[in-house]
Amino acid sequence: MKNKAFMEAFSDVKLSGEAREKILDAALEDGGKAAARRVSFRPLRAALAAALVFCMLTGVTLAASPELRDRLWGDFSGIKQDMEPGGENMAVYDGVEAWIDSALTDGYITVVHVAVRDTQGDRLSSVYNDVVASGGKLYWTEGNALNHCMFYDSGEGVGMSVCYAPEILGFDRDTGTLMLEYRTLNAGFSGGPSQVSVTIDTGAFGTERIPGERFPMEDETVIEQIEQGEQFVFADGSGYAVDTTCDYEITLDTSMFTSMFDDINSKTGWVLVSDVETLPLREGTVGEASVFLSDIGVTLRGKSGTAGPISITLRDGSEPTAAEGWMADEQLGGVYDEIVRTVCFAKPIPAQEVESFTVGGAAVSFQ
Amino acid sequence: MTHRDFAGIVEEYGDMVFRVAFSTLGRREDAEDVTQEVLLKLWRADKDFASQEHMRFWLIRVTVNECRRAVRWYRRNVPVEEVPERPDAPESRELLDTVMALPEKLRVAAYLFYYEGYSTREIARLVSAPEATVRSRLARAREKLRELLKEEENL
Repeated sequence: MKNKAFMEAFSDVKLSGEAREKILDAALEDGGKAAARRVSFRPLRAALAAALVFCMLTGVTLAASPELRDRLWGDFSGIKQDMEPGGENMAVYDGVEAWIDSALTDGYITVVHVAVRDTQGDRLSSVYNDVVASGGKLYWTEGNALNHCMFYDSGEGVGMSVCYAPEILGFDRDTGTLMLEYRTLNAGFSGGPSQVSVTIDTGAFGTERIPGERFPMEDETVIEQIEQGEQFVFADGSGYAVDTTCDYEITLDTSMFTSMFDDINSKTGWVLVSDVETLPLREGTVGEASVFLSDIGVTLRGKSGTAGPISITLRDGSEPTAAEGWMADEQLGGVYDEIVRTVCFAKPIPAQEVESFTVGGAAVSFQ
Repeated sequence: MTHRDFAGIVEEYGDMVFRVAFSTLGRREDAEDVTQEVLLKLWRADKDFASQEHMRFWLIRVTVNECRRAVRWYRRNVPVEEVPERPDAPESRELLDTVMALPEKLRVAAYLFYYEGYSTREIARLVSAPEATVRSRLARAREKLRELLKEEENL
């Protein structure tokens, strides 16, 4: 099919007059809002600079957490870590600081928050206002995309796992900080990762991962990230690869991808490593299924009884699951003859405050 | 930007934004929603573009990102059984049906290459993928289209 045929195929695909009118009307209605949203960044940068000077003078660390995280993600009371910028969990590249603000797991779900702050300009403001990407890509300046993903080793027999789809929680103008959320569901059954590594790189292919028990590697080993068809494949220089979609080893002929190896050593960007805090689980049963509830989500395992809508009521009578968008992510899987259903909450729900929990109308009985 | 300026932009670029969204999402109503979101972003941003081409590029890139966001929303909020198996074609045109039967990534690359006339390098920037990946997607799109057209001929 040549471009003429393609032109013909799409020639009748047009925006309807009605939709056009709707857009123009919405713009008229939005006029006031647009003006209110337009914020001059320069005074904010000045305020941030002043705050930084204050912090340098007083020795106080300027942190986005926990207030920013609470605002963007929800109340962290009881589960928050007191991570601050600085130390091993922070990296600086091209005037931009990035740090792991929080890393939590309950054994089934892992949620990691990464904060990114530009100390030299308003590039993050532009990113957030203009083009905020999803699906693992974060646009930087015009035409320059950053890859960012989370790696972790979830223990013996499971191997390395990766999260490619971070969510951009929001941009905090007061501190000039962009907050990203990475999460994985059904990560494994060996207690969750004890350490995570988040990479944000401009080289597209060069990155590092933390050494794992199953695939022990030297610190300097470079992993290649290649999109092969619809799958992501990681390969090291020796032609050994891990297919992350299937979690088995395959041998890969790296000569197939020579054109993609140009940047193999250009490890530019951020590599962040952090320990992960393990959250307590409340265990219970519903029918034949086991229930594992934490502040960040719930996992149901069993031959049956895992299906149906979830309803949670807290001791104060509130129903967080009644709110729209309460669920951030859901995954169904199977291990041997068990169905495993994992639900990640969009905002933390205090597990110890849960008074009533039903799945498909059946009440969960907690231990 | 005055409302009159904006109306001119909607007139000139509305179809293009809609087609990019439609080629990604495959459903007219979703594509209309994304088109509205993208154009209102432009209205709110009130940006100064260096050229018309710059604005066109910006619009396509924002559309690609908004579509990704829409796809993620669908995955989270719409049960699998309620997602249509095949995209709605606005017109029952065989050629369009065939193109829309391509996997999403392939048809977006093919659309930007053949219809919008972007180079593989420019498409790589628009969809934030390596250029080699874009070339591979185009090659697979051509191959797949050949297969689909052959299948239709044999029917």
